[in-house]
Amino acid sequence: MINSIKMDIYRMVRTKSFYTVLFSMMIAIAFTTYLEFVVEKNEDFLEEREIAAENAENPEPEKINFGMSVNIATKPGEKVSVYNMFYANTQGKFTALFLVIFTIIFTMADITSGYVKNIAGQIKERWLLILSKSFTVFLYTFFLLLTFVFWQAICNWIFMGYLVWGDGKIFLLYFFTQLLLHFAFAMVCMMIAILIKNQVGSMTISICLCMNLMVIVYGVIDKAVQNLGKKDFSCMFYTLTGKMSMLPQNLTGKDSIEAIMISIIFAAVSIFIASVVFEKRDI
Amino acid sequence: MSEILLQTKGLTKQYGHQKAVDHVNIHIKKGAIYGFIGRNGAGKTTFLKMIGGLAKPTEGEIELFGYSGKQLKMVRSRVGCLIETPGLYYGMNARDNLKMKCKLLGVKREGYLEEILETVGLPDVGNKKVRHFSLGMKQRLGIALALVGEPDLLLLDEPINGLDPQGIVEVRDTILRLKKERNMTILISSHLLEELSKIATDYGIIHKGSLLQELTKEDLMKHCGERIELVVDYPEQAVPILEQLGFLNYQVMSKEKIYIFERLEDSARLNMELAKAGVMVKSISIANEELESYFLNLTSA
Repeated sequence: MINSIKMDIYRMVRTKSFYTVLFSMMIAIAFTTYLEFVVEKNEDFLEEREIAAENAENPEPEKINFGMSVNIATKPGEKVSVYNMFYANTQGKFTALFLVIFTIIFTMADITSGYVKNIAGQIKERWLLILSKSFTVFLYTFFLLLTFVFWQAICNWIFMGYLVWGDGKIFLLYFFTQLLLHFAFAMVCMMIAILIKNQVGSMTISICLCMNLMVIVYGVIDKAVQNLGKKDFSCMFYTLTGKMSMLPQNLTGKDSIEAIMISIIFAAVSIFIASVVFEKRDI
Repeated sequence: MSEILLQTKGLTKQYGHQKAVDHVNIHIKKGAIYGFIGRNGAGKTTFLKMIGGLAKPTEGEIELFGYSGKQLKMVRSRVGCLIETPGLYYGMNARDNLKMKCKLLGVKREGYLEEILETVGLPDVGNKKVRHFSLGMKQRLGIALALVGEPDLLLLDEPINGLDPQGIVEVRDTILRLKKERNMTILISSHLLEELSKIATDYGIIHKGSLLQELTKEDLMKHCGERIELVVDYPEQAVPILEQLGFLNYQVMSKEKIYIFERLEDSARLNMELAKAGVMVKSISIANEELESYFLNLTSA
């Protein structure tokens, strides 16, 4: 197991996608921070900012629509903190988008290149390769979010001319909760990739998931359950993308624990399914 | 008798209603270069995948190094394989491709990569990306990957397919070097019979998923090599004369026919000596059968 993790980490740092995805995200962060700087100076956006700040305090499933949007939840007059930016981008699944692109490329690389034929027959348990991929993706998720935070801090300082981190305790709690949600989401995408064995197909599905494609399905399920009498039911409370979008900016320990539980369940089930399929299927 | 390193019993792989490999019983001796001959689609790759642990048999048993069933996992690491095209990361160089497998198998020895690259004739590739390699170089790098971890059995699936003559010679030399320097057992599949005949010591002929015949190089040469075909009334009278004349490599094929596999230039003298001894010679001729026609006869039968 340790050896396959070593192999996967080596592979990760030697592949272009590792740097390309990271670099693309950094460019995008710089661009969005500059846009935020423009918005901050423009009084026409005051109303939108107030709505975004209100939503961040009390996110609701009905406010999540198909598509991607990043809304900075800073009240007018307040300084934009690094936490505000991190919150907005993780909630909008902007970071998840980069993560799933890397995850699909990375987890499919040995299959599409055929390299897996060199190794799968020589190890005792083939499913260990899935476990090591999962661990490596976890490391990447951590590294990606950490890079996001520090690069965002640099961009804030450059474009805004100041650096405000936000509440340290809440930031840390939010960071680790989103880390697990992102990792679990990456595992779901990895499972899809392993199941359908098609890079383009799995990439498309994963990106659509980032863009809340499932809200259409969830809407139907919600309606059906609500008709049965459970009026406040929403799938969004129990899904990864739902939790990513609906963690409040002032999250509590309870919010975090709920999200962590959902992350663990989704990650464990996805890794299990991917491992079983990979073990049983011919290469 | 040589030690059997790999044998299968009724090995079968079925996809839907079609049997890609149908009850194959193969026997490979330690140190052999086993040529696995078959047309495209005969089941060679599927068979090799099952041996290499990449596909699960529908039925039957594989015995490797004396291990079978669930114990096979214990010896899987002793099998290196190159199945179909080499699986390589084209954006990396040769060393990175090899290093990853070294990490997986826990190989840390200093200079190991250089040694393997030297073995397959790629000592000077430097940092060149694999995508810039020729087909022959990629093929040899594929063999190098299969060699990581010092396997005792090497599975090569069509390693010379699509190569130019120079590439074929390079891969052939690499295989012969492995056999000579490491006494490695090699199972090599191909439909290029003439090429296979230059390196293989044993053969298995597969057709439509079934193993038609297993034979040694000597057996095959008896079928396909040049020989004196002698037709006499009573072979038992001819045999002592043959031995008196020093012919030792011969085989009585039927009630009338004897094949002699040496000293083809002495056929006239042999005819004369048999006549002198009163053995009635019905015919004496030099004959041979191309490996290809032998194979075609076998598979079309």
